[in-house]
Amino acid sequence: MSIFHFEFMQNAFLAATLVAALGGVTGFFLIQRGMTFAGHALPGIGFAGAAGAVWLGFSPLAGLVVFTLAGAGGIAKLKGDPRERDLHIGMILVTALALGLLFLSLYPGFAEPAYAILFGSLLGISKGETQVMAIGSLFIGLFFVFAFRPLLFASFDPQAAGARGVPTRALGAAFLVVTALVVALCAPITGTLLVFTLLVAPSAIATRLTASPLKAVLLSVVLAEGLVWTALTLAYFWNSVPGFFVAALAFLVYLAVRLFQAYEHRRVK
Amino acid sequence: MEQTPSPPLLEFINAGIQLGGQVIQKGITFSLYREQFVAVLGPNGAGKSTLLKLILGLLKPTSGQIRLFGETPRTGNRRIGYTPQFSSLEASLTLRARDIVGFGLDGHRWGMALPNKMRAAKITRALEEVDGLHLAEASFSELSGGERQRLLIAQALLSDPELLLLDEPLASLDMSHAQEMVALVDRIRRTRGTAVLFVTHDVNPVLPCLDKVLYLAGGQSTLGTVQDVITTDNLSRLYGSRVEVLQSEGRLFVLGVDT
Repeated sequence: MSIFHFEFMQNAFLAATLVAALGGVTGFFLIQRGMTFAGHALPGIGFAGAAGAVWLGFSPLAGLVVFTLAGAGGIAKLKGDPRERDLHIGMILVTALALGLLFLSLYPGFAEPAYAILFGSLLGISKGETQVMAIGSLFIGLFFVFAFRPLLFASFDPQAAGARGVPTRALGAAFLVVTALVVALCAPITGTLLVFTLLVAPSAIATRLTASPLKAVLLSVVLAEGLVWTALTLAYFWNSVPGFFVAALAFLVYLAVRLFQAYEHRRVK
Repeated sequence: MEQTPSPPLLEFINAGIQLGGQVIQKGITFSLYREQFVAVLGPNGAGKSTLLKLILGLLKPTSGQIRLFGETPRTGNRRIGYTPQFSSLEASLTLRARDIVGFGLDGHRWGMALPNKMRAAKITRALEEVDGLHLAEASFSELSGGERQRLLIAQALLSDPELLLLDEPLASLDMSHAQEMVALVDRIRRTRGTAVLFVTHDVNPVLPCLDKVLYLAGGQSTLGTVQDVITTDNLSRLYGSRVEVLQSEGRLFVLGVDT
């Protein structure tokens, strides 16, 4: 029987395609800005929001969006050198995770909707949710098309870009807000634990393979799509969780690329 | 430079610099003319990089005024080319040299840069001008300090600037590479008629092509020729303590301070 026979599989493929595209593009800029750790922290912060919302009787999605946006705002305000910045992000992350734990323990019984955000449920996505995702992806895509050049310039050399009139701080903050929205869109599907896989792994592989920004972004999206489609197919036939296959395949591809490059490097020498 | 008929490109008129409430310079006064090569010297924290930020319009003087091409400095001025200090480049450096140089052309514009022959030709020309055509396809992370610096200069040249502001371009270069870099900058300013403000902690590599020195220290500054400015008396006055200038085999050594 065809894998697309069931509507839930059609929705899953559509949602996964959108999530992979968003992650592939956003991750490229996270790497260019040296902010991959923020990409790891934002979903964790978002989980705390989801748990809090469930405890208070709201939709976990609302809590997820509010907390990731607040987290992005906080990270955007951090200054100083990247090492110190990552330390602060780490402190924000553990505080958020501790809050999440507290909210879960306060909830009477098993906080199923919060756990759904933590682990994601690609196969339980509805048609309405994929439509919301499609609209969100469109706006985020427009942001990246619009901001591509100045964002890249500001990521590479904030001082020279600032001197050229690029509003570097505002652009950096806008990028973090967009990253927060990407996380909020992806988390219910991949789970907050595995957003990072799609956010960073494909771009990390792509930037190892090409130094051209346009090619790297496209390759990153292609890799991300390949990962989620393969993972979904494997999960469907083996009746298993897609998230595991996404992460495991991403790791294997990354490892293969690095080993191949190490081998090439030695051969050239 | 009284004999220079053209008006100055840049004028500091008693411009004061404060950073975080602390007075860094009480009042800088100097003029810079077309094709002049001026080294900006002084100890760390004397305000050398801050001086460039004032010219770029990123900071305002706390007193006095600055006239750049007869106007108040503002950001986004394409008549200035600027290369910041290396240490300011913190993020991933996986970008290709050609794209980095291309930022100088249209990096500030919104939207995406689509492949375009004219754009590519301009980038190629800028790379040629810094003897860096062979680096075009390399990733920034693979390049040496001197090669990276050349790319940043190529980037700065793409807006056809009349004034080049170079912040510590010799940092992390050994003496022979430093001399190559200085010769390159000198060639660019002679062929293009560009004025150059060259921030450096060591005056020796720039001695062969220097018109003047702007020395910042102890909240004060002097502009003049090397012979007038870098003297035991003058530097002792600027630093407010005993400083010794020694000359040996055509090289200058400033003793008694950390430069």
